[in-house]
Amino acid sequence: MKTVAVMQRELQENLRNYKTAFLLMFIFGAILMALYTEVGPTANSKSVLDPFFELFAILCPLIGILTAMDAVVGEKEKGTLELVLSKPLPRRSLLLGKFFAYVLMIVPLLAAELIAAYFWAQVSGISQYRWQLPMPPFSQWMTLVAIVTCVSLLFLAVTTLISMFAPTTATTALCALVFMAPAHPLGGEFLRQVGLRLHIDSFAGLPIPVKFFLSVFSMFQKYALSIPGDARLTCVSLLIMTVAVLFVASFIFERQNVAFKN
Amino acid sequence: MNDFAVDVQGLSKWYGQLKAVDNVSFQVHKGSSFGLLGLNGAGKTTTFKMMVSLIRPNSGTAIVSGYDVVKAPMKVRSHIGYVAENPAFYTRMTTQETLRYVCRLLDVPVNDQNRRIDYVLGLVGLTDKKSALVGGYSRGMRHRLGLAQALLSEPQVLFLDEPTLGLDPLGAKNMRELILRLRQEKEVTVLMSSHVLPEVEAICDMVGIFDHGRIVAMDTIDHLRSTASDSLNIELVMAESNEEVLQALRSIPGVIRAEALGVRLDITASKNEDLRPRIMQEALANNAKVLSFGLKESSLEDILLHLVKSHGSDLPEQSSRLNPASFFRMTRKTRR
Repeated sequence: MKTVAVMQRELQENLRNYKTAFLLMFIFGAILMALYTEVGPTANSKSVLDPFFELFAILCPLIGILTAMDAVVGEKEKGTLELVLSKPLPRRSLLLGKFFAYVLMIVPLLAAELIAAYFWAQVSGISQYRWQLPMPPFSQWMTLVAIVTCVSLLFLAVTTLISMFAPTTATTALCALVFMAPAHPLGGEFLRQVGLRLHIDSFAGLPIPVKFFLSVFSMFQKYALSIPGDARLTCVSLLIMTVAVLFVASFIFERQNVAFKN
Repeated sequence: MNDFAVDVQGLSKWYGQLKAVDNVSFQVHKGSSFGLLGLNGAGKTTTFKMMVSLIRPNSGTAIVSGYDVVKAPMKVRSHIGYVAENPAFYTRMTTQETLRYVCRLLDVPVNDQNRRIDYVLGLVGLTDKKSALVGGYSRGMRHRLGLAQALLSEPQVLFLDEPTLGLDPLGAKNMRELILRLRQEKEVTVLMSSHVLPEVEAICDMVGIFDHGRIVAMDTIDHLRSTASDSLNIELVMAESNEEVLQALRSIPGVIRAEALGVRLDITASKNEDLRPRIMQEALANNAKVLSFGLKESSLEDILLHLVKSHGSDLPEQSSRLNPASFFRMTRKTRR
């Protein structure tokens, strides 16, 4: 019940300080960019899905980071952490309450806006006249939505963990951004080099445990978009990693000697 | 269950090389009030935070309301009220929403929440601000809301960290009266730390004086007054200033210090023998027109400074070099 109380308060706070509204606008802006600029698909693109994925593979970690960067450190900065921790509130309830509030902010917004973008691209004729490409099947589009949402959740959890240690909100954001590089551009190059050395030219035949770890890399996620089994595995792997990070965060936070503002 | 609301035994806390609290022990009887006094960085706030289970001691125990702060921190927090030095709240929540949130964290039954909220708001005089956003509160109102949230748990022990810090004289007076009223009406045990010594004198039955993380004295204020110093402060007021009187008093064996402040003489004399008759005799012998003569009581400030000085008042030095560990400073604390 206390987790629910924290979640409700966090949601209320984020609605009132317009964080949710700005998040909505951020995703909306990204979708407009993908639909109407060279960042998204063009007449030279091979498919609609790939440019969309490449854009959201970068934006979704950012969404997670921007949403959770003040999770714990923000409470320290405001001085409210002392208020809540002087009450019989288990620290894990505080973390989980905040995390669930962020999930409730991100998932509906991201899913609704991406699904709307799919239908808009069809109804407005953008795919036909601007990109000259057929829209992918809806199920494949939903695979993209599921994977990018899971990526956001993982980065939410990672940022929440970092915010327990970082001295300021800005530092939390910068530290979390460091984790983006291996997941996206550098990670892709790393996988390519490893693949060359090990003479692996496809992800297809790799064992499941290897795919589990590879699912944090956007290169693997992009591959999984067109393979339903691997897409499911990617989503499950990302969710398991999210839960693991949250578990570690709760474990550490329960034992952490927190420095209060006062 | 014993007769103590708070029973602290050998509490210690280290921050790296710095011993913030060093083997502190004291007891506070149920229904009484205890003041923690000391200079900045003396260890008062750290001791406070260990007693409310916000930080974990490195050694020692503290039993608060019958529960161990290390073994049963949730039980401790359910039975106490804590007001931080600078009470902070979610600025976009109203007073009522804030208190309802605290009620939920305290597991107050839903059907009792409104009654408790109305009661504490009435007590601190914020009933008319029920729907106001906390972000618009003045410092004094935040302190009152701080006290209101602390009272929601119907606490047996109330911890007040600098309860009147930054308040104007009227706000401080109101807060003081409120605390005294709580003590009388609810028989709440009060522990407070403060730099405002008259406030401690007004509220507390006993005080503990902290220095370098240790308690250097602990007693009633009256007893501290009589024992803390080995000298007597005597005041002699004359109708007109008289330098000969001053010289004569300085020559009396046992007079440690005699200073003239206009027509008033401040005399510090040894406690070993009562020199008051001799001082009066010398003054009259030198034609002093004495208007008043008597002992001057040591203020709590005098006692505090005397005790802290006698135990060495310099703060420990700390290295100012940048330590890589200071980037993630969460397990350390810097002294201000």
